[in-house]
Amino acid sequence: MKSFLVIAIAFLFVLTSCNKQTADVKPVAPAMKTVSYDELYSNTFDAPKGKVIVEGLCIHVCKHSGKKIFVIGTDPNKKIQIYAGEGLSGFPQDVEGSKVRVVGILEEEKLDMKSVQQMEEDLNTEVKEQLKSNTKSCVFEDEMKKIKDLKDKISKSPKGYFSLYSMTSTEYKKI
Amino acid sequence: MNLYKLNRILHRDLGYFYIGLTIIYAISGIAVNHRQDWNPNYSIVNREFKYDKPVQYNNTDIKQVNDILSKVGETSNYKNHYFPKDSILTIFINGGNVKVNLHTGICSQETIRKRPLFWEVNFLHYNPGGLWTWFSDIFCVMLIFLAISGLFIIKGKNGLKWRGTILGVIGIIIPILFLLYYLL
Repeated sequence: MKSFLVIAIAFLFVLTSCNKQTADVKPVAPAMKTVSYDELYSNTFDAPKGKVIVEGLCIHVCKHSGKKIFVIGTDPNKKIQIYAGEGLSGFPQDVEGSKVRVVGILEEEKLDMKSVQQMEEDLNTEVKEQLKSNTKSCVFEDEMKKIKDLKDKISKSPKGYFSLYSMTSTEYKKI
Repeated sequence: MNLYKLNRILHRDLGYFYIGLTIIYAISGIAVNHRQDWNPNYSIVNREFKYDKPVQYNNTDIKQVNDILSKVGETSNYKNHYFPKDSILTIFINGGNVKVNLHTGICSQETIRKRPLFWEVNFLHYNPGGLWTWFSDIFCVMLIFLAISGLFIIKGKNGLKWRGTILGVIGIIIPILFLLYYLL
């Protein structure tokens, strides 16, 4: 009887001491800056500190964990990878194919010429190995084109590198 | 009440209380352990069909998209569409998508369905946050308690004096051997 009471009291303590669970879909504050895809892909963009809004079409939801989505604007070549951050358990599969407004913090990955050349070398090595086994796919051509585009962007960038932005989101809403 | 008796009572009652959570984590553990072989959350079915009419890049209206979907009876499930590249049209439907190759007219439909039970237990295992974090953390602490309290349930040669020690030590050595095998 005593042990049952101990368990019951411990459980009640947990129930009463925690904050209410954060809902996945919350209203998104309208006062924040909405960042455009042109800004994200421009050479001069500096990510604002704090939360921003990104809007667009969700074209992919990670089917394993649901913790990652890809969102595009009108140009399918300009997309952003968004991770579910604190307060979000993940993105349900039905978000794929929906227009979304996502709030979160932008994170910058700096890609310089050296790192892109390394990517190119790795890809070439992979292509050579695939050629040996006659399994080369056209995916490599797409990847090579992306690397070439990246090199062009870096060479034109006044910063000397290309900023690849991803986002850690705290809220989202289907629009 | 002596300590042995209290230990047995706590071990018994916590064992009863956490039976549901233990099964949830065990089922999900098996499901996620084999994620290389299957998708533990969704059942994904792919099928192909042919669309004979020409589809033009960036010049496809909703009428034609519906015409494509009508081939597989999905017109009412239309959500959105876009062209990821000049040779592909992707149409999003409720519960999946259809990718149309503009050169060949071959369409591949991906149907995604939640795996009953597995989706739910994995959802909890991946931690939806909030109160569940506390509840599952306490469960983990209680698992440690159950493991340790289990050592003191039985006295004598079937307890820690002989059988308990031998089996317990073997159970600790096995993961150490795995670690040595994988890391050295």
